[in-house]
Amino acid sequence: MQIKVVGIGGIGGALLPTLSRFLNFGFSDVEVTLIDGGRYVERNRNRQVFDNLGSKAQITAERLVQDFPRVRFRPQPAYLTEDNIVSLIREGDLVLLCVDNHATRKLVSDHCEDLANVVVISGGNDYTDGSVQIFIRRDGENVTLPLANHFHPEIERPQDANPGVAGCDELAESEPQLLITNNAVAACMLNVFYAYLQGRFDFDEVYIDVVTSNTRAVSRSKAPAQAG
Amino acid sequence: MAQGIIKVTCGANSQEFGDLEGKKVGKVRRDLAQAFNIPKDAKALVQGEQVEDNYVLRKGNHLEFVKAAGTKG
Repeated sequence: MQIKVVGIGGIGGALLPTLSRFLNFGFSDVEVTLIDGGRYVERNRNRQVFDNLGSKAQITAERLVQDFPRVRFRPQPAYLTEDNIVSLIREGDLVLLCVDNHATRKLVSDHCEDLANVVVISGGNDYTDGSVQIFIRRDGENVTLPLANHFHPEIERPQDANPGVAGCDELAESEPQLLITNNAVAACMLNVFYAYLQGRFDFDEVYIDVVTSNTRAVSRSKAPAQAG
Repeated sequence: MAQGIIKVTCGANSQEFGDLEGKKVGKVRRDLAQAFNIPKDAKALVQGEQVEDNYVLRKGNHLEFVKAAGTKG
């Protein structure tokens, strides 16, 4: 199994330890590629765990491989861009998209529509609520809706910027985030990941609200999905 | 859903109402904006189909205001 985790911020950092433990003790021949061009800095400590300052992809991989040696961790210290996405997101991948901007979600969604078989589980949050989308392509057909669909014009026509584009790196930290919401979205992404592995899902997206403790799965596809 | 009940959802939150029949979507959007945290530009769907704010709600309708995907991570 080839898993690509894109974005190691509040959501990605919360998701990775549980995902890695699950994979380490339940699967063989798993590679997890960590894709993030960012660097840990002191101000990240309010929401993220790291031993040293520096490349998020590299430092996180070094930490995880010590605890979960049966999983191969491959750091890719780069932001996804039009120039590298073809080599980083490939046929058969399962992508856990934990980025902080719609421009990258749009990039991944469009690229994956050109692949025959791929799964994308994408999480994002605002301050106290968030959502998770699951986009499945099988044999060249959309089983569920792409991330960029007409229900989500904010992703179809993103108004923000990809941090991989020169000068946009600092946008990521411009708004406050709640650690608890990051955790809730990460947990929901893992729920969706597990449901996919079990072939038990019939939804395109899940909404989460940490204040009301409500979670709601929504199916917007015409045909209910069945995992393979 | 029981007769006369109209279900309203936005994001993770959902509630059934017995007194919305005959009201326009735009009024519901305004009245519930704060309680349901409904964005002003959220698309409105009834039974999954997009409607405008002048749509008049009927018995058994499920009105959803589509919340944008979470932005940050």
